[in-house]
Amino acid sequence: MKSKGSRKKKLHKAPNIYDVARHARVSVFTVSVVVNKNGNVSPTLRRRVEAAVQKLNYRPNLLARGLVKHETHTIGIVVRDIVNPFFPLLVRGVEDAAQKAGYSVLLCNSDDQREKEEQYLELLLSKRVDGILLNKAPGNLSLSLRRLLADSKVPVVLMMRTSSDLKADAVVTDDEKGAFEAVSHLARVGHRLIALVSGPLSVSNGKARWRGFRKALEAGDLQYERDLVIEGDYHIDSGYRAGLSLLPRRPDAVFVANYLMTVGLMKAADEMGLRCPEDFGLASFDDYPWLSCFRPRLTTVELPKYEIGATAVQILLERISGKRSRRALVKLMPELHVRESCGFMLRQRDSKEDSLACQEKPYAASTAPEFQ
Amino acid sequence: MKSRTSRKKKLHKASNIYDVARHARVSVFTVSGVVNNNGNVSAKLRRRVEAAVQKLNYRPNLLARGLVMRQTHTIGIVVRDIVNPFFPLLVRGAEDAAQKAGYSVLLCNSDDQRQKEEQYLELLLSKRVDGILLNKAPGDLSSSLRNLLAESKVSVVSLMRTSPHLKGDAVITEDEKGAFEAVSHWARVGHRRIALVSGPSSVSNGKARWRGFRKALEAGGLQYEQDLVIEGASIGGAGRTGAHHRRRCRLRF
Repeated sequence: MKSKGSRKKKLHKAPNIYDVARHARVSVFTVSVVVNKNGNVSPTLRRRVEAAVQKLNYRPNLLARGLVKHETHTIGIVVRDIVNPFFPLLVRGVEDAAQKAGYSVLLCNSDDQREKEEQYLELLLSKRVDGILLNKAPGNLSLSLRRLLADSKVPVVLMMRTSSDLKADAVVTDDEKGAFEAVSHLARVGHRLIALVSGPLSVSNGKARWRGFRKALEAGDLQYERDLVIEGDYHIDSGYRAGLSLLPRRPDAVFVANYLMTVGLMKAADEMGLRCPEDFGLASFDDYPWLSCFRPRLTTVELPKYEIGATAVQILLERISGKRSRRALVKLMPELHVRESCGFMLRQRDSKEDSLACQEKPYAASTAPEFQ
Repeated sequence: MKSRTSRKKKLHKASNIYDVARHARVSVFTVSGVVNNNGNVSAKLRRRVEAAVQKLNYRPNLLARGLVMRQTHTIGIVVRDIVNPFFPLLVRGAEDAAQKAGYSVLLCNSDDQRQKEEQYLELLLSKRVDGILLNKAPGDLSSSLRNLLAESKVSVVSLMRTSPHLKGDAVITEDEKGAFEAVSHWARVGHRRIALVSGPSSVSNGKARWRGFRKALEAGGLQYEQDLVIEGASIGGAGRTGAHHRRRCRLRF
């Protein structure tokens, strides 16, 4: 208890609006008008207030302002794990867009656990954030939390994953199309027996990537073989285990639903002495700057991570200001980056058609709205 | 202006402690005692309060509590750029430790620009954070901001980089030793001419890594060749956008 009291005393030192008013010999109202620039004050008074603000090093207490105005200019973002390389660029897109609009961002990591997710959502509501960006963990929210969200009227925008029990705006990517293009590319390169390490089928984008895989096989007249499909959980370990069980069956190529599982699968391949793309072709979701310099250079489906974050903030701000009433479902387009892991360049070299050297070509322009 | 007022009306709907007190027919003080678990309340009253809390789906307003207690249970972290693969794990370490202690983390990206850094620090102080974790941009803070920080008594812990003007606590790594070990390893393997792409010499750890490199050359009896040493600029740079980042993704090697 002692330390609490001394802490209180210390913090009392920050000058408040009353100190400024006393120092400038004006009313609190006059100080407020000068600081918030929202009224007419005579130049003499304005100068006196400004001098006092400078002298006392006064900064408005945004906490108090938030309480009065019912606006904290803070939004919360709940992601699975900022360490998953998918999220930093998305979070950066969020923070940049928020900062430009005068908002700060509270970062929460749910680890894809519903319990942690619910704790964070409760906390964000208690902290009176103006809005929430949510990369939903698998499973439904509890009834009481759904009620709490509805009562609070705090808008939620879902990112990457939709959820049947949350009727909120959402920014997703066209993952089915991305998977379809990647697997069709593997088929075009000449791979017949194509395996899949899928994401969790309990989340919307895990299922969408699986559907894209399946449809590409149909379109290419290839067989869907159940024992060449393994459901992973987007983590390195599950990719490693999938590699250990898939690769001995010697598929021509593997499509992996995210980058971390690809890392695991490549580790398994390395332990088995299998080389990519000589022994098996590979394409994967997610693209990163370093993938174009480490061997094998991976053929990937890139998702516009920064734009996902920035678009989600834009929609959230429209909700906060009351400008949006219709539910938004924004679907951003992925891009296929053809490099060497798919075996395309290998085949080109074999058939001595070096003139057709591979180019990274986007197959679809991003439909992201323009920012700035 | 219209939308503003409608928003206010909407948000007023969140039930507050007075609603709970009215509903449970007790005093606000009793509700506070039950919700904060810090007083003796009879079992009967407690049940009534708990029922009202449940019924109204009441959650304490941490904003109001923060204002009264002068503790927001929020800390700010200012890093150069969360996209730099160095930072996600560091930020996760901070968030995990903060969360365990009941604190939330406001994330800020300074892009290693002093101006952005100062804006964020001012903002964090205005939001009355309880403390700040700072990966300092090169250069000194303005004297007015230093005064502001000193008067606010908000503690700042420096991460990775120290700064002569920040006399607070710091958590850094032994970078000189790390660089010394790596370069000594090259020397042991038999390399004679070793080049360095250094960090910015204007920050403490950029300088420390350079010192480690230099000392390892000396220890190995190797020549320090000026034209094999290049100072790297930080990539963060002004005006980064998603498009800019994607261009970087397409760099071919």
